[in-house]
Amino acid sequence: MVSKLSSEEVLNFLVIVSLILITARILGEICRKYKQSTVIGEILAGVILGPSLFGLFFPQQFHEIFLSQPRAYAAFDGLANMGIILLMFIAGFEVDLKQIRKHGKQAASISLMGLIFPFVLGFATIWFFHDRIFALPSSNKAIPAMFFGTALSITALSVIAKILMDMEMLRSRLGNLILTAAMINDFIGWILFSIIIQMMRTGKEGGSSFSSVEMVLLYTFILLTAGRWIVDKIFLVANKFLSAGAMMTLAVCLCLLSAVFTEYIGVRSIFGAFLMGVVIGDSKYFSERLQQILHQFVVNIIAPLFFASIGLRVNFVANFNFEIVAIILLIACLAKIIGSGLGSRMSGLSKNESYVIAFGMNSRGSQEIVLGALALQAKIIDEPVFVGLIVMTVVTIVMAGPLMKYYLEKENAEKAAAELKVAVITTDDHPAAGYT
Amino acid sequence: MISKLSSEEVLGFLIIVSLILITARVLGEIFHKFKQPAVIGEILAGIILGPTLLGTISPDLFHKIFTSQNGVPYKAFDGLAQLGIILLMFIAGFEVDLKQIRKQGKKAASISFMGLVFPFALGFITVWFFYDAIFSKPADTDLVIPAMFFGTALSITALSVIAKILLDLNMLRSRIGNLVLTAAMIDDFVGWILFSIIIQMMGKSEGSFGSIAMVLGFTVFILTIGRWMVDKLLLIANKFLSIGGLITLAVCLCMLSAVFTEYLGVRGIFGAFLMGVAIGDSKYFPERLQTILHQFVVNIIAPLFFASIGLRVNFVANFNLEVVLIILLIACLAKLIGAGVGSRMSGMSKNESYAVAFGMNARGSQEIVLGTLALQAKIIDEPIFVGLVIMTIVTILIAGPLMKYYIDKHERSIKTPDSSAPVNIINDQINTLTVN
Repeated sequence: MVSKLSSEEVLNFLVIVSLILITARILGEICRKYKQSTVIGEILAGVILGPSLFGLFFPQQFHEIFLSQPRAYAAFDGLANMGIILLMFIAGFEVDLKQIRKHGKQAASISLMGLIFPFVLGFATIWFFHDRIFALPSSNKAIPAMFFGTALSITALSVIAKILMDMEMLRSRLGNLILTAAMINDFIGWILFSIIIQMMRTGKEGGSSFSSVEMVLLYTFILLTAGRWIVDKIFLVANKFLSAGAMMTLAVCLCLLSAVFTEYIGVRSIFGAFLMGVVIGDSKYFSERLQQILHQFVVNIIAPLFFASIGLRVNFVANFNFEIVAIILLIACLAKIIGSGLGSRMSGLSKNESYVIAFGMNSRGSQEIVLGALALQAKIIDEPVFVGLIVMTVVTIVMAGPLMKYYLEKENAEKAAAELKVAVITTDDHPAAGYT
Repeated sequence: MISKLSSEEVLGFLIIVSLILITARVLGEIFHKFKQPAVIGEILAGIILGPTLLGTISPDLFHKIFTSQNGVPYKAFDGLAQLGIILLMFIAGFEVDLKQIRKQGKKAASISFMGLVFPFALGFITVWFFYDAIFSKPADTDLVIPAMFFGTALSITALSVIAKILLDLNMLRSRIGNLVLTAAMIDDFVGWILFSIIIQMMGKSEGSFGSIAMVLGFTVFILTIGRWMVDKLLLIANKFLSIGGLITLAVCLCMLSAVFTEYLGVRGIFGAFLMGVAIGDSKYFPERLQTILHQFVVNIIAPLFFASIGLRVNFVANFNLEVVLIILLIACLAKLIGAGVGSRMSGMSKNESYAVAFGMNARGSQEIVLGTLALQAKIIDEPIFVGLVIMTIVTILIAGPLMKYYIDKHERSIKTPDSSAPVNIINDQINTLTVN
């Protein structure tokens, strides 16, 4: 017989889900009210309900709710895992391959500089100052160094898209550029990370790590070429025969299959889900409306459970180490702002525009935290470093919006002044539509 | 520390979810194609993947997928399936239209009352007197509970299936369609209250009367004060929250209500259903949001639950022709006579009464949920459960064609003398429009 949940376990499971969902969404909604990313509130919910606060003040209730029925929490964890898989899936929708091809060159310079610089700086920091940041010494410094480099170089596509949306510049030239650069960034960052996961897993088992890395790259390549074509054809056919609901299920099934496959070859499932999201989002036969339905349900109901579960894992108060947090924050901001800023200048943008892009690219997001959670689970990093990463993420998100606005207005002011001079000579048909 | 799922468990969990979702939806779609409710295909998926087929043909594979690793991955899946049925009952609650019940109340009440009392009495009597013919093990001291369960199981009509059949027959907005729907609503509603009382009765023998009072009290509360409060809450929420925020609010309320009823000892689905009625009644919860919830739940989560039914029981080993036939016979006889007589009493023609009776005869997901709960609570054993599932499938299959047959017959008989029929239909349409 298959083993079911008992009635008590179901009750406990429902209590956990309700409690976390309600807290996470209320705090998320509050953050949204203040034009912040809801992710911040959702993580905060976990911190409040987890060992940091609730567990500290009400250890007995905490134990009763989260620990007394381990199966119930395991069921919740399964749900949270589904949440992040589906979230990465719909994040893949946002990647616009055509856009990447079009804005390719400029965006590539921004994103490449914004990748290499943080990666090298992060790698070097760990390589030389490993013992300062990590509590326990390590024999193999390459993996944590690579992780750190990757963690610093990833830009959060979804957060940036959100910030640009709030600033009403998603469709402007700068907005497009930032988004495209972030996409490339994200994409390479995930491939890097899946390679790291591979390296450390095979390092443990002594298998051939190289072939697995190849597998990942091969899968990515196949999915983005032949896979894209096949999926497009599948949806073309499905569109004729299936109802809207069935189309949605088809998409989710493909996502799950891809997730299972990548999890099976040793990379985390979210990577496969993300790739499949890119591919499906690219097909014109998967309508906007279906994307919306998936988006609404995932973003509002399931994904918050995952972000709250992050806070549940770690005691943020006990593991708060000011030195580590400050170091991570400093390196992260410096590396990204210099890297992306230089990249923007190189692609021919003005100084103020470069600042706008740099601060935009500097904001980390859910991806950063997923990465950290996986690394923590895989024991690449320890709790204080994880807390540092999360604090860094929150700070970079909070400062991105206001600073981008500041430099954008400065740029516009300077441009207006310059235009005034031009307008004296020529008639008023200067193409500045993107900024009105 | 909180017990998380390990990487292997996550993989196992994902494989289970993918496998079941894909099979269930493919079969569901096939049934959909042949104008049958998808539920049948979804249950079939569980039978194929469960001990009935896969477990018999390839026990190794079955064990590897569903019962290895201490059954933890399956428990995580079961949590998801539970959430699926809770959310499904929640959106089923949306379909209940309290205004409609009040308006068509009298006629519908006669149909639904006769359609309730007759099957209940017949079911009760059958078990009371022929207990040993149906149940394999000798009766406990108490025959009342299985007798009551049986009566209830026979008297419940499946609102969602009927709505679906009427939709397929293009008569959802006709007079008969409306009447059948309203009668089914009342039926459903009373049936669930009855069932929660049974669950109560068998749960704790002492103080069970207080608990029944609690259930009834909670029902009355939600439908009066609760309804008003929910309406006001949604009115306020509509001003301040985004679409996503509203969806979450609804799901949170559903979860809270489910947790509360589960805590009282009634199953969580009852609370979810009641909250669905209350929220569906509020005009501040727009149709669009209902659709988003509906699509996601019906297409992604709910199929997992129905497939999990087939996973539990070996349908071949527990197939007892005698039991199946008895259940099928009594179920159809009781409901057809009851609902038919009720329709005649409310002044319908003979053929119309037949149409209504066969419509009311269709059981559905609710029936199966009830059976599952009873099986879990050990009120019934596996052969009876199998009988109930088969009875459900058969009644659904015969409903559509027979209704169509009698409607056509009725229309042919009134065509010659009565030319005012179209006017009636138009009037009805106006009525429904004004109601909506």
